[in-house]
Amino acid sequence: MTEPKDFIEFTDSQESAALSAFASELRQAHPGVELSPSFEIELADGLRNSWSWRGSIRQSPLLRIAASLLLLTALAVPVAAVVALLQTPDSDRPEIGFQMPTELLIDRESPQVPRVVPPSEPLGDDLLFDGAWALAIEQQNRFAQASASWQIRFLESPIAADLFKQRQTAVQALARRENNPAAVELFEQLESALQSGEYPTAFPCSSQELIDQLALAPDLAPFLAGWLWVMSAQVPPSGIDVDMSWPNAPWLAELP
Amino acid sequence: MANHAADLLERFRSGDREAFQTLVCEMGPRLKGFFLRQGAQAATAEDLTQDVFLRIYNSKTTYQATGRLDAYFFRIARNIWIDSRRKKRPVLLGDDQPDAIDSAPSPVEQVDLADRAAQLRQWVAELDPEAHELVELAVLQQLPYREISEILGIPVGTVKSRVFYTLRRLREQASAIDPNTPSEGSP
Repeated sequence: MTEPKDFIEFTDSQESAALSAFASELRQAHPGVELSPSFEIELADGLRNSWSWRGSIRQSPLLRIAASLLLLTALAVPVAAVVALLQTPDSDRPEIGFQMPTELLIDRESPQVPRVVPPSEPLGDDLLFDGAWALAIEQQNRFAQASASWQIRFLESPIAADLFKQRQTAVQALARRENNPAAVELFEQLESALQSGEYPTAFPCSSQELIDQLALAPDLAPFLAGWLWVMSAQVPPSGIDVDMSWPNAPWLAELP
Repeated sequence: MANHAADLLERFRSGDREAFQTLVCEMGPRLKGFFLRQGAQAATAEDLTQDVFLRIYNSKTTYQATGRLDAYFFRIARNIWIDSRRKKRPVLLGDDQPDAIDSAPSPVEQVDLADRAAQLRQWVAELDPEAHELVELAVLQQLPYREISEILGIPVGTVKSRVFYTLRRLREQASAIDPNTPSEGSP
């Protein structure tokens, strides 16, 4: 049961022979061991007690027959079901169904139509889906669009910080020159809303007041003009160069 | 030979007394030695050897008639050893390692040779687990490289080269302290 090993493919014949001799010496240094006297008896007991289905079926013809019957019984149910499904319907077999009566009994009385009672009060302006609600939704959408484009330009672009600083400096310089605290305050409030992205619960001024401020503070007008579109979807008055922070506003394309 | 082995195994499984004794005499000591050298105590090594026989007795026939029967036994022995280590069955190293048996030499030579044998066993025991396993299967149990490759799941070429380099390292270790180590040119 032994196989001589050489190592010719790794080294020369001399070292191969020396290694084979050394391997032999290693084997001699590891002598065989003896089993304890009780080993055979214990193993024989273990084999006798190691009952297993497979072993028992292999050894006992009676158990083989019983197992076969069990298997056949277990398989018979699904096989019978499949056969029944595949079997073609017998024409002699009466069809199961029900017959409709030849005369249909129809209740010819007309159904009671309930009388509709009109609302006692006319529909007012405070319905859920009225014009004010639709206007507010449109405003919110325009604000979201404006805020997103503002944030892309001043907070998310690679040069956002520089642009933002330039804008702040320019606006402060203009505000000082303008000497119009109301316009500056309006600008700051609206700018803060754009920066936060939160739709203001109430705008700090009406559309008309904003138009007035555009006229009163011409230097700040380019920075405020976009709000006219947010608040009322109006194009700013002609002659105002709209600030570059409103790049996606649809009315920009319409400007001369 | 393979057919004889398959027949022997089948007779063992069907409860043939003669086949049982043949296998126990032939494989029992080798398996026990294998487990001892892996680090099991004597009692544990015998238990594990019994486990090998029980598993072979109860298992469906997976023995390849083309392979060697001892390789089949060692494949199962290795799996049982790995399982036992995984279950953290307590194994202790040391006292149960078999001693060297030398026949002819004088008492003084006997002491020297025994020392050398003990030293060799020590070096083998100190090998890393992979190298130890290779020396066990290739050198001590003398299984063919192809069978070892299948048992360990590595290519035959890898088995050959690792056995070569491990033996070379052990031999260099031995020759460094003992000039009696078989040198190149001496058979």
